[in-house]
Amino acid sequence: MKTDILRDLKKHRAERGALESKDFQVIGKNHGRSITDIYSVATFYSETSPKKRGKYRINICKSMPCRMKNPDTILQLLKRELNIGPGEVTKDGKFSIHLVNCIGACDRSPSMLVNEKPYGNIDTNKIRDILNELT
Amino acid sequence: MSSRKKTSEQKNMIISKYITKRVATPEDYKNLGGFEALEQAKQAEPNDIIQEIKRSGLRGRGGAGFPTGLKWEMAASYTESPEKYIICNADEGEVGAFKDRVILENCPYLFLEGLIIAGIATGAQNGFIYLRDEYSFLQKSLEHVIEEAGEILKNYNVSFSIHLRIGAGAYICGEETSLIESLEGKRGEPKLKPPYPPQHGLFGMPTVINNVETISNIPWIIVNGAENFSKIGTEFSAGTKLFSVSGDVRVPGVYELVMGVKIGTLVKDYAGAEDIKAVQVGGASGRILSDSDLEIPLCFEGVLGSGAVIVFNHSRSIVETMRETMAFFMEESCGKCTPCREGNFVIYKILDRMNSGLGSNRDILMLKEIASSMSSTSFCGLGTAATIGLMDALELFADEFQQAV
Repeated sequence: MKTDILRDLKKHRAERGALESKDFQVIGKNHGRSITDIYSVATFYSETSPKKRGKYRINICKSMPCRMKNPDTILQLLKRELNIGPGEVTKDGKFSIHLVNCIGACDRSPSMLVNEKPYGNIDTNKIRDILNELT
Repeated sequence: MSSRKKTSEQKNMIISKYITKRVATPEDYKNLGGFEALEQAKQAEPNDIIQEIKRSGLRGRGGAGFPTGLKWEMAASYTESPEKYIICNADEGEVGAFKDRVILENCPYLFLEGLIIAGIATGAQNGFIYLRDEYSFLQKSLEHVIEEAGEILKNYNVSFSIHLRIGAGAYICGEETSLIESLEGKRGEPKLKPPYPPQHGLFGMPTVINNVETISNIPWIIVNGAENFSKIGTEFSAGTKLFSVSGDVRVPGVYELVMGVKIGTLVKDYAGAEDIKAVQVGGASGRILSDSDLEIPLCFEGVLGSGAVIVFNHSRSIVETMRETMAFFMEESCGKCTPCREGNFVIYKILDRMNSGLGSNRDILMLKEIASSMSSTSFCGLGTAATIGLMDALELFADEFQQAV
């Protein structure tokens, strides 16, 4: 479908880790829209934000049902292991951590997404396993 | 209640029959009685299907509760329109809601059958599924099921195409006009209503937008009849409802219960809550209730919303809970209108201050004033509903707010 700009934005970002004016230009050309128009769409949605992200985006759910199950210990562990805070990217560009709103996995809280993949009932041991798998 | 009784009870329900275990193939679905409704709908007059849905009393399960048959009838009435669309709203973004995910995960055939019947009834040739980005992990399986559905449609000689589209992390896109904007490749900002989508929707064409759970009820109604459906539940809330229960409960999960069930029955008998200080019904935009409200029925006449139910025990701080709720709205406000964009921000700042013990008496007054003006002046449902829970909490837990100043 010709209006699927979000898919194109995600594709470009997955390839390059961030979105730059060149990406907006290419997508705009393909869709017959101006570069500023595409930029305004990209900045509206959190998952098409032009900001640089890691190859593996770790999205930790911070909404109430997950927050009630102590995701703070999870965040502390990730901070320690990766040496970055929420919104930051590791030097090698491999990981970034983000605190996000409800991901719809409240029956398995605390939960998080690594790129598209959901993880539920996470604890410090599980996080270590996930990180080991990815590094 | 023993879990065995619970399981056997759920098996007989309208939707749970299909979603308590994974239904992996069209054959499995057929063995459970699937596609029977499609068979019947194919032979029926489109208007008869619409009248059947109208008579059933089915109302939208996404939270607003608009009569589904009426929506269909409105869209169908534009017979001269060159194109019509059906959109399945799978942008389940409400905090604490995950019931649609369970349908999409365990039995996507069910809602697809409903979607196709909606197409037959209204005369739409194209159906869109707008899936939230957080459910992207379902993309592959849904694409596969859409392909299978294509084969089935060919066999049934029905001309209807289904397209999967994925959002990009914006709560506001669950609002129907925002969803349409997003599908058109724009910023997901809400638009003024009227015109309503059934008249002027996607690409300016008549469009029906139904929640995943809503259209999952359609096959049952077609097979079992409107009268039998309307006999279930209460006068103004026919049928059953899927509840997503989370928070301080022993068994969080999705429960399908008859409309009108008491809050206490759901959270205590089913989800195993023992210590209840407050219950949030309807997610972040829902009502806050106390332990003395457990007799209130869950239905459109009582409280309902999207059916997200979060239980808080006595160790939870209400001020902190409300701060987090308002942080959610501060981040998810699209920024189009001033009351919502600024109001959520200011309320969050005040609650954050109060939560760290730096509040003043004036703050409570400010909260009430901003909350009520937001609810009456915001552009769309996000802003008008953002402070519903806060206004409840300020009344029910006034002493806690007082202690924070």
